[in-house]
Amino acid sequence: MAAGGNGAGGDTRAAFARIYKTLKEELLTDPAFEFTEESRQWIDRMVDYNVLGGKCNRGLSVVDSYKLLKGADALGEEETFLACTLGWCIEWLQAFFLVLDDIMDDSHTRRGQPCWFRVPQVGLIAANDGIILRNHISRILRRHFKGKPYYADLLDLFNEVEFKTASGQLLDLITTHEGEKDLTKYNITVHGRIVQYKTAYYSFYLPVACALLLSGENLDNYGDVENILVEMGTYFQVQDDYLDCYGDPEFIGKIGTDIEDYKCSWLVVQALERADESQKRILFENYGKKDPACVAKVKNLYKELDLEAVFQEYENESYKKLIADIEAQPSIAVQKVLKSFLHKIYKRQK
Amino acid sequence: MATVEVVVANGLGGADTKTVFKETYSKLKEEMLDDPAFEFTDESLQWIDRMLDYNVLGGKCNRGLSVIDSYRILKGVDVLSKEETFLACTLGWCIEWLQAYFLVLDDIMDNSQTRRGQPCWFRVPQVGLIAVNDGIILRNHISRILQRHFKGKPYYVDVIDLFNEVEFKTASGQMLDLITTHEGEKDLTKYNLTVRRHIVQYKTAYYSFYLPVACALLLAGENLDNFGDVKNILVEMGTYFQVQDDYLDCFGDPEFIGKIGTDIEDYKCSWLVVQALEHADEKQKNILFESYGKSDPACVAKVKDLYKELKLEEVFQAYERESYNKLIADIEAQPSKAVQSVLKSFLHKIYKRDK
Repeated sequence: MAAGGNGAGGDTRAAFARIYKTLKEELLTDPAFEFTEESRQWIDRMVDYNVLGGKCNRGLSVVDSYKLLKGADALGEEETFLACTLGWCIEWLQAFFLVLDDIMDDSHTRRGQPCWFRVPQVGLIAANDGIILRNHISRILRRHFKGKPYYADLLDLFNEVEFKTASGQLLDLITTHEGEKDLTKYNITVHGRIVQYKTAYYSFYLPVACALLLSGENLDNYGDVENILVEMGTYFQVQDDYLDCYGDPEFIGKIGTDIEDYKCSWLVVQALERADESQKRILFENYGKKDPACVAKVKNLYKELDLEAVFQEYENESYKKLIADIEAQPSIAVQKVLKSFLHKIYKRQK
Repeated sequence: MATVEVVVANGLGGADTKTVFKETYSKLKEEMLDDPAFEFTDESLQWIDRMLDYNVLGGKCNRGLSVIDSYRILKGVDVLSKEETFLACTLGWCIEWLQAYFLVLDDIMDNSQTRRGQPCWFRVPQVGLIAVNDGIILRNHISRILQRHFKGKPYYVDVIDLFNEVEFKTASGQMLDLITTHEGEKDLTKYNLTVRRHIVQYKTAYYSFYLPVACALLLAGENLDNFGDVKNILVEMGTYFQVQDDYLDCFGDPEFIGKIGTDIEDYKCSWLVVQALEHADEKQKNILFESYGKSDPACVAKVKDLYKELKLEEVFQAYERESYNKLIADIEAQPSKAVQSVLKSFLHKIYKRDK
């Protein structure tokens, strides 16, 4: 494993990709179901289409976090396999959420290709495919972690994070529905809650929680770490909201449509807080419309209210608070994990 | 507890079980709406409250109730303690929640109109495809209920693994059904007994028949790895149950079965069409190819006339007798008398049913 020390990033990615193939192969020969050739081909294609294609940052961060917690440059083969496997479980979880979110949002593209439910012959079968992706996580965990003393804790962790994420999604759906009737329903508290539950737990807390369980820790002793990671995830989503409007489409890989889609974005929430009556009326009349002229009016208002400067101030303050909270943690290894996460996202542009 | 025990012992077990079962639902729902893992808003509380009552209630709860019945038989007692009753009812409700989750999503994928005499949940104004996420929340409620009431029990991990595996099998069976129907719409001859049995086994039999008994066995402290034969018998029973469903969809009295069957219109891989394909001559097959899967009442009538011509009612009756005889023989080969009683109880609830 000496080679790992000379280029851990590259080696980790290669191992991660190899383990995906192992896991997929195991799922396609799962003894709990008698596959037909058609069903095996379907799942093979479905899994590649939806689980691959992202940056895998969430999954890879399990491996990185576990290394930092162990204070090791290299992990043993078994350790690497288990960490990568949990990382892939998180990627599978995200794939499940995204497939279903795209159906509910009536989206068109994802990662530069049509959403899975848009693919000819798929349609709403995608809803069941989402369920299968979720079930794959349970199959993977049972196969590789049953017998580990923390197996029940892993099941509880994934179940709880899934529950929080689905509840956050419900909040988002209901809020958008209510907001379409009354934009003033959008406020910083509502936005914070949606973001916390819908994104922060599975994107930030879950990877570190997996690494902690692999390290033999009891998650009940890490309430502060959970809080810090949820705060970090909230900050990350505020960045996402900002980049949707101000980011370079070349960099962020898509053209943002939060304004058109009537999203409870941090930007519109800030605008509502700062706007005077005539500016609010501009928001009420133009937010959530597809017409490019309406979108332009909203963007001009964001400029008028200097929301770029507001965001920069928010970013600076968030960073300072997060660093202070991280450095208050008793464990140096945990501090390293949390700083590693923070520095990956601070002042990012995509 | 003396009063409750006396009442039950005097013969009100059935009615009392239903009452306690209903009370347990109210308690579990209250816990779901007060879950510390999520900060509910009033709007989200109201939404979930309504969503649960709409989708989890309304069925006959036979699957859920059978956990309590099976557990009682396995223990060889007339009366369960309060705690035993609560745990059995709770697992029973987990099965009802699981079914609700499947049905909400199935109705979306099938583009159905009604369920249990009311519009499908996704048809309700303001719901639409939010129902997809509601289905996921229903599934997550099972995990929340299990963690709350079974964490710390020695069989906790086994219960989770059981629900996860049955869910996986059911979702895989649903996928098989969706893919098969899609293929069958292009070529009806893709429908055959093997394919149909495969779909039914995975899509319905495991969660409807195996899961309730498996829950009771776990409550009784058993290791499910020792009950492979019981699982096989229950899957066979579930397969027979679904053949009955297919038969009743076409030949049952709509007043009794509570709906007007549309398997023919919906291009379903029904046991009836599979039998028809096996028994038909070339000319009769052409009628099937031309008329199956059409909404036109004239086409539906042609298919039904053909079923009559092929005497499929008699074919079904012969199948029913043979299935019953085989199931009874397999059940009586089981070493445990208590297990035999559980399995016979299941079989007698469904044998020759007309709804």
